Amino acid sequence: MNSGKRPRQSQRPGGWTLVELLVAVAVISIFLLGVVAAFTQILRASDRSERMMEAYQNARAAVETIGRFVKAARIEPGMNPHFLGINVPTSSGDRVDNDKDGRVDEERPDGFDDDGDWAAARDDRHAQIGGMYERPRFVGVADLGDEHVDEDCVFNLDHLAMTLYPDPGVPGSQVQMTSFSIGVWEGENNVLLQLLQRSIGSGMSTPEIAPLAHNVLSLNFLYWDANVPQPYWVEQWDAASRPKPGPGIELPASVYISVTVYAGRKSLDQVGPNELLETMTASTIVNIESVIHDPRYESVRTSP
Amino acid sequence: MSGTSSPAPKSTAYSFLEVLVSLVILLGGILAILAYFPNALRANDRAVVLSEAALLAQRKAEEIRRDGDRGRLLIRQIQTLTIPTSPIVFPENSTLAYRFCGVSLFHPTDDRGDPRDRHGVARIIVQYSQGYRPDGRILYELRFDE
Repeated sequence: MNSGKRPRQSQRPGGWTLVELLVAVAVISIFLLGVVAAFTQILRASDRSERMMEAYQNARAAVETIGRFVKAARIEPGMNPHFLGINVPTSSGDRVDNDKDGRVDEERPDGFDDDGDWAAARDDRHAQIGGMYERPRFVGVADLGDEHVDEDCVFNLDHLAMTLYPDPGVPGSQVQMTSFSIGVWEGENNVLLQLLQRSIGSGMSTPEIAPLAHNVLSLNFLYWDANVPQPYWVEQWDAASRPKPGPGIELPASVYISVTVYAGRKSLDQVGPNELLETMTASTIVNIESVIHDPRYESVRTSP
Repeated sequence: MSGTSSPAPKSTAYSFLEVLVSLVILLGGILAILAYFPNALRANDRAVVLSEAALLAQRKAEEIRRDGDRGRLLIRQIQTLTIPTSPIVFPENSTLAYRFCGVSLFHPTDDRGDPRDRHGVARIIVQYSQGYRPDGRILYELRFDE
């Protein structure tokens, strides 16, 4: 045996035995399996991260555009619509239990703690500034800006129309009007649309319609009513029904704007009615400059 | 026949050990490439976090301006702060927290001429929350009501 093996080995000095080959193949396969598994994970995570980023940037850009126009809303009681915010709630949200309390989409995005899970010691959020607090009237009260207020909401499909100052680039134009809503754009649903019109002579130009964001699931506005003893957010606003003229200011002092964009992998029309929705939301608050600089606003400002 | 006399072919074929070593090197290379990807993911997340920080800061500034009383006491108080208020976690995003201050935390010394470090200007500072990143790194600073 021994004497027979020696010459064979020396005949094929670099050759592999079957066992060596099998071991090598096994080792390579384990390596490759691990590499492929890791790679799939990375691709999945990278795809998700891309989708989330894109959805967030779309929502943010839309919120900022709307914010710029809202900031420039004009107090002009003769106009129709002067400032009209219509609240259109829906019955469902992202179908995810965002606050992990066992209930799904149980709140409305209205600035109130609808499900009653706010606890002062835990959820009240107010920076202490010297001897004062931010949002001073709401220390010890559940309000927008606290934890557990509007944290697991249904979607809204609100509509907002308002009068603006004229476009300085269009000579002779006296006024502009704009509106925001979710609608259909070139056959595509769930598009956040802006409609813009300018006055020309005694009439208005044909509306220009522009899409601000696609795959929009929710558009929500809240309006800061400074005309009441306890100023707070309201869900709709019709300037035509406000006192004019008088101590009451026709427009809200502040507007809360929130846009939720779908971020899932499937296209939106292929998502089943009970599937969870991946979403990204951007929201902001802007003050209407003509209101907070109005002398009448001085008399209704919050006193800490 | 001639195999016994010539050692040359031995050096041209790979030994089992050599193959194993090369596999280890290959694996190391692949791992290094894979390790690069999380950085790219983090860059995406950071882009989102930075834009969110900017939006949340604007929102806080607007709230302060809206709630300012007749004597503008709230804004004046912020302007006089040389130590920022303690961080409050945003309810919208528990990884971020906000503070108010009258001096910049990015450029603490006022060298005049540079508006970024001017003292006595109300600022909102957005940083990582302690619960998310104990170092509480500052992400964004917004001056308002100048």
